Amino acid sequence: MRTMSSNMGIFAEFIGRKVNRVRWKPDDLMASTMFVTGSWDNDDDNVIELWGLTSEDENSVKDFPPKLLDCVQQNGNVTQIRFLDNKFVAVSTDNGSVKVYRVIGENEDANIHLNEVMAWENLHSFGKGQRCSCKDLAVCNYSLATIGDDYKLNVISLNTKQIHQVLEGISSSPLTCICFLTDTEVLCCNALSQMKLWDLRIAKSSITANINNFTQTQVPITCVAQHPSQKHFIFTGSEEGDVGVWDMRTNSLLTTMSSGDSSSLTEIAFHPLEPDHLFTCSFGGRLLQWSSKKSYMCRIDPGDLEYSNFWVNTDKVKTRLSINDVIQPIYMPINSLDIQKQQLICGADNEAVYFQRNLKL
Amino acid sequence: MSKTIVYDTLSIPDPSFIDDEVRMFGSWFGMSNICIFPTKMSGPPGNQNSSGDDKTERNIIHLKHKTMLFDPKVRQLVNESSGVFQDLQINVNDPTKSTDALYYSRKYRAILSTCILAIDRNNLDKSNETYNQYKMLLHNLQLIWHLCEVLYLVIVPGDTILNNLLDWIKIHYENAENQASVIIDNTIAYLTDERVEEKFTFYWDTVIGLVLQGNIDLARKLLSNHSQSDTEPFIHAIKIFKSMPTYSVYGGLPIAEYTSRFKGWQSSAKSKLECGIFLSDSNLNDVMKIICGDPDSISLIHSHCSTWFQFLVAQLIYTDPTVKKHSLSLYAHRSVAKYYKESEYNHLDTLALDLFDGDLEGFVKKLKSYPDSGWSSTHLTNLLHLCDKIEPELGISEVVENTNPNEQYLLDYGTFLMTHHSLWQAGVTYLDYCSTIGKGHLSMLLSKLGIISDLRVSKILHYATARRLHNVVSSVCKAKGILSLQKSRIGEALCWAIRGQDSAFATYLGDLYLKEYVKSGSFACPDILDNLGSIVVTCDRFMFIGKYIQFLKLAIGNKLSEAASLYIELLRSNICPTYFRLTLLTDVLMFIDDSNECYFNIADISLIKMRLDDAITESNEDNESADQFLLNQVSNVRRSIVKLISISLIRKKMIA
Repeated sequence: MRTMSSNMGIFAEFIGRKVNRVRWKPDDLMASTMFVTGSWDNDDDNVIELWGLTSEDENSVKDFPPKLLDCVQQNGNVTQIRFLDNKFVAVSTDNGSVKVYRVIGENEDANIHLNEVMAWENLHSFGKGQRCSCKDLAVCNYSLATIGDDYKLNVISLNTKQIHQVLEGISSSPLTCICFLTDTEVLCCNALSQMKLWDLRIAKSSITANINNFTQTQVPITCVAQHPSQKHFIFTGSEEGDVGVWDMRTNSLLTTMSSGDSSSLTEIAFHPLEPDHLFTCSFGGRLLQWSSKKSYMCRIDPGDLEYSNFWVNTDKVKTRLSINDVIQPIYMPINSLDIQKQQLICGADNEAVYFQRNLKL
Repeated sequence: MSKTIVYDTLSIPDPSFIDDEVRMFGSWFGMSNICIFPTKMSGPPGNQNSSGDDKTERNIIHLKHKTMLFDPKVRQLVNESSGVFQDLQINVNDPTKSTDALYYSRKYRAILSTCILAIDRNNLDKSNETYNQYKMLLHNLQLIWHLCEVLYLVIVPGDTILNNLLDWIKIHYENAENQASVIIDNTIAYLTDERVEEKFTFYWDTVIGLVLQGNIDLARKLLSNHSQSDTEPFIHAIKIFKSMPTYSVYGGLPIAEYTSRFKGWQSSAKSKLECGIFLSDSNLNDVMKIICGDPDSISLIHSHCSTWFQFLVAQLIYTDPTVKKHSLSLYAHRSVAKYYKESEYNHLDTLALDLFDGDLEGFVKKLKSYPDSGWSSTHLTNLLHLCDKIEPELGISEVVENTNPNEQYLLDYGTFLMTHHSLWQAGVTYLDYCSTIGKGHLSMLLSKLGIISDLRVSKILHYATARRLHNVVSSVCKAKGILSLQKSRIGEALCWAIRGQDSAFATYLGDLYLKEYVKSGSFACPDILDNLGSIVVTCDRFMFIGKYIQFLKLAIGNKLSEAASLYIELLRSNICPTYFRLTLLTDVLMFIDDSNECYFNIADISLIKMRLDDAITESNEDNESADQFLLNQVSNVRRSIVKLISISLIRKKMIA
């Protein structure tokens, strides 16, 4: 069950279901020892599972293989999992439901498990009992924003446990992903490579930005991420494997980057503490690290002002960005990745979860 | 040329099939299921009345392929091996990477053992009969795979194969070794003067087991634990054990030298045996008989071996320790004949015999019917093929050149995996390596997958696009488009039309847009129409819609002269659909304003007039479809044409 890839210290665990999402349970100080996976395409048997890393004895570091701590049945494919803090986790499915679970830790109960605290069964629906998918879910300060096939944007406040705001008909083509820019601005992307920015404060459904991606080629945007420190930079992944860099101050596309892998990107994520490193995973089975940091060999000039404006400087992006495989290509779509501290985890369609404990940053 | 191979026969205990007149019919149901039903053949005309009264119940029987591979715990075998398989296929064509068949063979075996471990972990008390059976199947598979590896993939200098065979036997029959460690670890017996051989009833079985695996050192250790170990017979026996010459390929002893030493050692042991030194302990005497290669010991060896190949190897140790690979076949046949009184071999026996015989083709064919749904035959054949151990069959290679001999296996296995709701992606991997037939299968199977979720659709499209299976892409997109249309979501349907590059479907949707516009005066889904992209190039209707929207924008933005040239262009190119013609002509009213500006020259005006005449004649011919409201506009259009002409004449006069 436990295999180690030849040189890089990657561990794989086959969990018997294709993994669509995987997330670390955040931990403030330490490296996380728990993660959640969500499965897809397994007939009526799709689940979210809570896993804990294990160690052979008390003193050694916790590691793979993970131990299954809890398993909760879902009524459809899991489309997104997001942790709100280190206890609450929100899960959306393609049956239109959104649920929030609380991780009951060891100090609260003998069995570590997931406890459902809130559920909206048909948050997204067509009525008439037709299946309507909740496509994506974003979180910001205990607010949840969800988008679905019914072209609705729901904003839920976890504090009041109520749906705060519903924007209807926010697109005419299928929505793909959503992201909070600030706690009042939400960015939605769709399958015709359009992005719309919604301001939640002012009158409903007013468009503040409608950026037309790559003008003539309507390649769906499949995933989106915000730069962790320079919040005005938005990174999008497309179905053709490109990464687009956007400046939301000018609503313009700064540059597009390509890794040579032209299959659809499934997730794009920055290292939360080291924003010089961007990670992507793709249908082509590759997990890439895009590093803008100067190599260790070079002396870093502390007064290098240009450095902070790296993404604006297109030439620099073209010349200095280095792209490396984090794990060996696995020939099957990798659907999700998550990073916490030095450790990375990803889940793929070969029913495996891969774990890399020491990222090179 | 196609051969019919019977993989399996099963009888259906349904009473309705017993009747002579009833025939069995079957049809595919889904991808892996078969429906079987009885059909009464119409008998002689006299009997026809009675067939109406037939009240017997008729069942439709549903045959489902049940396989170990789809068990949640065994699925990792499928998934992990597909990764190794893919890795192997890629590396075999890459000269910079080493393609050590042995390396991959061991990888596959490692997957088997991790799978066995996983099954064990979920069946700790061994109460689950299914899992016990799976474990047994996988275990035997591992055994046979390992034998194949030892005989065909490991390169042994001088072909003295015995040591490798011993390693193989030791790994798979570890019972004796485990028992020995139980005995040796039990220090209490040693300290308390208890008799080891009495405490452990399996003591002598263990000693013989070890001797039969050539594990002389451990056997010696056991003997020295015996309560009588300080007596003469035991001291002699231990001495003999200690002095047994061992052969190692890299040990430096030439084979001839080793053989003579071995013979010397054995004859000295034999002389001691014949002197009756060991007679005081009958068990010890038996052990020594085995060591001396005494023909009397064969029945004893037989009773300690659970399979004929264990029997074979055990005999070889003390009769021909430097046996060459090529003479194994002879020994193998002798052993089988001695081991079985009647020919009652099971599947495993014949598989092993084929391997010892050097009949890889026969082996592979038999492996195909191993109850693992083709997992082993696919991977092992592929591996053997890639390291050139199996040649294509002569008969076939004349018909199609370069036929991959294991293509059929890949095809069967890949197709089989495609029937599973989750493992279908692994199936794609195998079909990819089946030349053109595989592509045909893939295209068929991918479009047959149920498009039950958007996630799955995106995966299907990914596989189809990467393999240039355009028919799959367009059929999936069409299906999704129709579904969107049923929910009256034209925008979404259009997305799918764009995705599938389906200009016919796009034209249909374009018509919906335009008709909606004629009715309501506004376009639905402005966000899509503003951003039509490549569909304007591939679909005439959207080329028109794109231009028309541009025209409307110019006209509303009061850039009338630019609007006018676009308007004329639209009229001249004649891409406007007939039902929209009058609407387009009515737009000429936009150019009539108070400024008395004329945006058209005489030629343009006559073009407008001509198109108007065409439209009127057409609508007269086809009265039913004509929109009364638009027809009323005809006079307006006429009036504005007149006005345009008059303005242009006036302006001309002024210039003149």
